[in-house]
Amino acid sequence: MAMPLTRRRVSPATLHNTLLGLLFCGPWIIGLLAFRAYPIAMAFWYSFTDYHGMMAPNFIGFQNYAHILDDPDVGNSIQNTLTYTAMAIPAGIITALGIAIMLNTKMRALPFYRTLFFLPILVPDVALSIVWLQMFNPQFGLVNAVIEGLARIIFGVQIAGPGWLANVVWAKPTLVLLNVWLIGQPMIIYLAALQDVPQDLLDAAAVDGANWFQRLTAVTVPMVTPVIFYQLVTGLIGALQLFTQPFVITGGTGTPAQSMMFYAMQLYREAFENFDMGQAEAMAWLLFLAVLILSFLVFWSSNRWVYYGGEERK
Amino acid sequence: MASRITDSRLTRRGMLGALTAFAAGVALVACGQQAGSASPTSQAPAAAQPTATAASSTGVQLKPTPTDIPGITGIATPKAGQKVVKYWHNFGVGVAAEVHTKQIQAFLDANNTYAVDVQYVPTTAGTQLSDKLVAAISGGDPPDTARFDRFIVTSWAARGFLTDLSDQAKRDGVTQDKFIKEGWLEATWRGKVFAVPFDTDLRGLYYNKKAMQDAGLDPTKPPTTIEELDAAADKLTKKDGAKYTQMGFVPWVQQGSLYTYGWIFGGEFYDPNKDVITLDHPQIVKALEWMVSYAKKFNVDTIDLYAQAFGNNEQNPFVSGLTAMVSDGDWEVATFNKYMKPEMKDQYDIAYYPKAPGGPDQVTWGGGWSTVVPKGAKEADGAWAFAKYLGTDAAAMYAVGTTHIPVYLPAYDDLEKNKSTFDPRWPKFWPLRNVARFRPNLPVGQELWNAQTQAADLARHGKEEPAAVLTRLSKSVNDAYAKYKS
Repeated sequence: MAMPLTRRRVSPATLHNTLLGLLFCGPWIIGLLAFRAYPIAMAFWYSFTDYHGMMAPNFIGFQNYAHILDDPDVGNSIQNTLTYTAMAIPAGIITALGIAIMLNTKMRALPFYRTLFFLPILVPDVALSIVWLQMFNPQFGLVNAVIEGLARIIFGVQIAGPGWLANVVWAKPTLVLLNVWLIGQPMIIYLAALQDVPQDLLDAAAVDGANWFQRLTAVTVPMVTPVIFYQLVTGLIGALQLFTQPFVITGGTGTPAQSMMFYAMQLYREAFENFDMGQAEAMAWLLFLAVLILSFLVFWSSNRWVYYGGEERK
Repeated sequence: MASRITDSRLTRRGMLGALTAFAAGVALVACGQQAGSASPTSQAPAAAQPTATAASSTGVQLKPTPTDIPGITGIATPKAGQKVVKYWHNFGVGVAAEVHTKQIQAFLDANNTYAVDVQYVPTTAGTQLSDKLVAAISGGDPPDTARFDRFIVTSWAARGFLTDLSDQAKRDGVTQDKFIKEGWLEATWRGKVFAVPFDTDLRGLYYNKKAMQDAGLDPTKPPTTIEELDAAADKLTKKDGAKYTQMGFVPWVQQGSLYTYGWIFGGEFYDPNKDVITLDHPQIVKALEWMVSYAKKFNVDTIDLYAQAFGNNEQNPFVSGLTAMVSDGDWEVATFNKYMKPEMKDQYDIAYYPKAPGGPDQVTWGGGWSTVVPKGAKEADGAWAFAKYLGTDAAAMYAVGTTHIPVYLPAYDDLEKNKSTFDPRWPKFWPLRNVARFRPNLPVGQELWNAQTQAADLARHGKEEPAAVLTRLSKSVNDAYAKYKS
């Protein structure tokens, strides 16, 4: 026999199964290579070129990357994106966890409330943005009508509500508010995690005299840190790529005073308005690197604060 | 033990109570608001609320979703032996779509060779371009022809997205002398033709005669100089507490771009002798300083509060009576007549832009659309025939049917013939074609447009001084332009 005896022989059945398996996976593998791997690789190549979509790309080394770093518009969009991320992530986690904790009480009609808080994420982003634009209209919108009405009825004072999306200071917080409203999915995951918090730990803490708040901070929250960690990472990735809502709300212009011009919008502008594909690809790769580094930092820090049941706390 | 746990828990009752109290509060206030809103300010916009149109203060216009009448329908299917021209348009519902349907039908009636396969491909929100078209051209499967905003023809042509139509244009006599000159030039790049101009649009000052009368101004004498405009704007602005109930004039809403005022103040956006973009032209700086003076005088934050409600159609601030004067385009005559309250229709008129110190006596800016043949179009001959037909033979049909101003000069004969059938305010715009300025045809037209929008946004919010921001952005656009000079 030609085959050395030491080499494990693949039985015809295994070979058959493997080939069959690959055949079934084939369309997916081809799709992954053609529609993911290939564009990603080409984007990397184009990021080193002067490329406008039709004419042959022209290799220019690191010029695109260098240009990004000294373009004040890109700088502004980075600042906006980081500010938004710093506000949106804690706000999202605290609200989603808070509502999940409230819903974790043994209340009647729990499925109803779960559905209620989950519903907003079923609204398409574009429709949602338009509705918010109307609701948060400073002068004629529902939100200021409610705020100003409450002030008038309860406190008897005439106040003017904030400028919301029209105001430089308020625009980003309004966008954070919009995304806090969309906490349905994380809330459901927190709820599942909360229901896994061992009752005996809570009972033991209660016996030791811990009040509701102490049990929350010392037992419940540490037990759900793996989920918080997961939400932090996915939230970070999502926030840094924020696009649809501010694009629709400002018509791609980033007003007021460019405070709503986010990194992904600037990238879109470079690619599809200015046709500077090379620059846009370079921006995309830098975004990828930023997400990678930030995710890595979160992973690195997770040793210190994420607690998986059964481990010793470090 | 069990009781202690429940003691400190948030109870179901408490939670429900809190939720109910909140819901009740909201409902209470909402009712109170409706019952108590006697002021005209909260009434007027309420009437304008239930529409599908949404807009931000700076101009994203999301057109109503097609409901009863889709954009273009009823185009005949190809007959045997006919070649099919694939056409992308961006007409939603409305009069323009109906007239455009007739234009296409007329093309089909006038020729036997070509049929048209019509597809509605809207432009991306807030921009006048279609990223689907970019992808289709790059992917090698574009439509044969497409409706296209003319000021970016040069940008797309310079980057190789469009088919050079110079030979066909020369052969068929589609030449500059038949079009408004600068409008024609927008469809070219370095002397080559890349589009057939479709129409144009011109801008002016709309003013509300009744509001002027109420403010003690002579409604037969609209402002003729910038000083008069400023004075009228002061008088026409009314406040209720911290909020405006009527503003005289907000320079940057509707068609009030820096392009508008740059030309009014005598600025030039491009110097053909030096081949440089001059967004920092001293007179453009003056124009921006003048725009900023409104932001300072009327407090930009308070105006923003107010202007967030501005949009198109029934949300046009002039239609809803929110501004007494507005810088807007000729097409609004038709829109206003459709959406205005009947008693308001006779209360407005049109004036030419007031003269600014250092500016020309009369000026406006013109834009307009065109029909292009993308690079890689398979039925390029049919596409050319169709584009040419829309821009020449069918130009008058569109102008008369939609009250859009033609860019094709022979179509003015038809307009003159039909003059008595139009709202008399619309023909007032026609002579402006002789003084209209068009955006410079540069391969960085989109960059320059974005830069002037951005400059106005940053300056009026006090983020940067007019001269500084214009110098910075002028340099940035020139840097982008440098790549295309060779």
